Amino acid sequence: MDAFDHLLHGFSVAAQPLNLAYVFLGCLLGTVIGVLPGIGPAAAIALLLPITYGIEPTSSLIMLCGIYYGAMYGGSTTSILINTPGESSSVMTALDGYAMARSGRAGAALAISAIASFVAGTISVVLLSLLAVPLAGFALKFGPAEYFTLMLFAMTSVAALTGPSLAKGLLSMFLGLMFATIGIDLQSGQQRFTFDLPELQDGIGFIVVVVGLFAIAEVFSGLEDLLKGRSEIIRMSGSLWLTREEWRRSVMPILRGTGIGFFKGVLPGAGATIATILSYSVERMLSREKAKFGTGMIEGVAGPEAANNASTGGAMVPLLTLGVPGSGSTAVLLAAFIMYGLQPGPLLFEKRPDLVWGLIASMYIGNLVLLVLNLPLVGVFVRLLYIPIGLLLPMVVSISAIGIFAVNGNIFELYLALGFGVIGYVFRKLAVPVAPLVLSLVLGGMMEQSFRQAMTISGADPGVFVRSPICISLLAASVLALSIPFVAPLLRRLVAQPAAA
Amino acid sequence: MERIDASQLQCSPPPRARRAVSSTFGATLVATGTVLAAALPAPAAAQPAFPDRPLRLIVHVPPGGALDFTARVVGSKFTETLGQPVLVENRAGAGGIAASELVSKALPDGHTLLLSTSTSHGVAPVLYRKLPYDAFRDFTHVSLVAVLPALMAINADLPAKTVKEFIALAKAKPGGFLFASAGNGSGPQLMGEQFKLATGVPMTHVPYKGAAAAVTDIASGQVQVMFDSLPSLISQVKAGRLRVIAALSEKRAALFPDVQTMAEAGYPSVEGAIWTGLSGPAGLPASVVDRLAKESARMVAMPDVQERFAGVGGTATFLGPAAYVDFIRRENRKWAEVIKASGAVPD
Repeated sequence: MDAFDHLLHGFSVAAQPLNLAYVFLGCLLGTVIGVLPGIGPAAAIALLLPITYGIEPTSSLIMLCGIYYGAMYGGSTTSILINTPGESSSVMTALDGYAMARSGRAGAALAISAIASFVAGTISVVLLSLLAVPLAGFALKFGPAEYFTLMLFAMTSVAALTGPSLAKGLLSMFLGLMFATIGIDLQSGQQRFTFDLPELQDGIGFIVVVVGLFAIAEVFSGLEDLLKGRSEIIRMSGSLWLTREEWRRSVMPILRGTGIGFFKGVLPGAGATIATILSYSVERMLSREKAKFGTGMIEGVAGPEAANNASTGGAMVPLLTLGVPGSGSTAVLLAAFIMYGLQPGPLLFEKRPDLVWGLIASMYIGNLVLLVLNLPLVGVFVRLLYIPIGLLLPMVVSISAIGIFAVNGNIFELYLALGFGVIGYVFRKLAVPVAPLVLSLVLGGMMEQSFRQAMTISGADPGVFVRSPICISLLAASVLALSIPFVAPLLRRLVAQPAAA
Repeated sequence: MERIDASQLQCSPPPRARRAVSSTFGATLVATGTVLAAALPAPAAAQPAFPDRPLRLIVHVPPGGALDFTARVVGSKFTETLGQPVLVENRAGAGGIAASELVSKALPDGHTLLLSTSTSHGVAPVLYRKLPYDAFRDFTHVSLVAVLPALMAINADLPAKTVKEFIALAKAKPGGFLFASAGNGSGPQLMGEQFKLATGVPMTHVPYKGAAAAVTDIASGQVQVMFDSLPSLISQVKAGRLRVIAALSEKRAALFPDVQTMAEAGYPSVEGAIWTGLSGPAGLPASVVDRLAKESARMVAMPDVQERFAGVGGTATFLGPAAYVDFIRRENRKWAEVIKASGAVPD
């Protein structure tokens, strides 16, 4: 097979000692960056770009890509331990990951996310090697109408599936959509809800919201517990490692998450985030204990973590074959390619097979390196939970503040995060889920733009949303997602009644 | 007055060993190094010399992309020639207003500079009714650095090979064609409006968030045309999904010698480019402006700098302080007319 020969050649490039060293360095840096909220892979790669000038392009790209997928690996750590997702693609991991940590299974949650990441990362590289060329045109099939329906589906499934009640899920989602309208409107150039504050012109940043709703709210709750004398140190229960039962429950979610992640990753846009949402909803839908999701179900960690990492392999498809970056990180990677005078696209595969396949081969090696790096770290990271709450809370506050300030260097955003902290605390008291708010804030802006682009393109004909098979199936899936909370109890009663009679 | 350059007297660390890095993390590292250097016996220079500490070059776009690329070239070259590290800082957003405001209010000693661009100083002053600064009074404009002329690129499935054929096709289509842009008020939109005004072709504007998404939709045929400079178009042009049919510059593009200019096609008024230059806060000392302009001219003449800009379809072009101000004023006038005539005013 052709791809196999190329790949073999790629391994001979990637396995050169110098390139191996760069794989390792990239993965190490990526892990560190992933663990720190605020400094994302995009910023890290940009930071290193000028330093890598002068290094051989293949070696340098191997390292930069290592940072990219390494950061995806590390992103789950803070989600699980201190309920603070570093990227939008780690929000879903926080739901059950943090709940697992609260019930003493932090070690298992960290271990399964490392393993899920490894399996998904490796499978997605296999898919990348086999399907990169055939899939090249897939991203082009997604126009504004398709994106709109895709995001509608992601949004409805989140609202319907993440909370105990559909109404509360929708409340949270609509609040998020409202926050997403703040800023300069892309289509008309008008300022919306900015109250003449220049800081609001670009909208509210994801990091601000997520740190406020998750981390700061967590600190408030911790403070409340402390004052009421209810605080207790979380005791690890059982071994650090996974139990046989946890293994069994994780296998299928990892595989499903990998598939979802890879194919969503191929689409430019919010690939990784949507993939984690879909994976979580699928696992909840298939589970026999739906109500337990959000209380520490390992499926809810394994699936989204796999999806998140598989999407990095997927995202390399449009980057390498079309030169289309799907995310902030891949955009900076594209800039790196261009800096070296390399133009990603179909021609790159023909002109520089050593580079492309060397890079792909290095991703196989990198995933292995990451597993070896991350598993021993599990034991170190869980120790964080032993830190007395009086020390941990100020630590969370300072890490959060640094994370926010590092992005734009803006004091205003610190106050904004504090405000979202209050909202998060109130939501928690009222048992309103925060994940739909965060995700609709991330996706809402894009969803609105896609809708309006599609309407402009079609000449204001809403029929554009039912004209392609992709749109129709996504719309049908959205309706299905919304109807599940209503239909599922009915079905259960229908099934239960004859059995009882 | 005789000036002594501290960088020539400092013996350690050698300037070449330092590199331009962005972000506060990098700044901290470099600052630490500077503190260590300062702890060494002080050089004999008694006067404050420029530069006597690391410089900040503020860019109003996120990392990656053509403008950021320029900043990094300037950053690395100035680090070598000025003998102080130049830190590239990305302050993205809002038409460059945040970055421009920051620099306009910085201490005018030459250590805080702005990568002024066609977006921040060419278009924003005439696009937004109120800015927190005056584009001329609150800045000392030092030099133009690079110009990246725009191209007209269409979906490759369209049968048009020239501007004339494109116009005929657009006029024949009910409702006209769609042109994409990197956002409302962006260069690609204004050039599209300019083209509409000059040719009378019916076209509807579809704004995208950033050029990458826009180009993808042209490649798939959802939208037909876009006017932008090469870095955002090149991947799809090379892949054969986009066709370049005109250059919006005086001369034909070096990378597309067979493609005619708008003037050759009969529309000399359709003309546009992305450009970048150096500016500081108002009241920069003349000696600092001289030094920066001199280094800038020297950098632009370097073969490797010219080569790097040529690679992204641009030219390293130097204009001195006075000429750069005139250049910006000309750009302002041009875009003000387009905005007025097309009615494309946000704010």
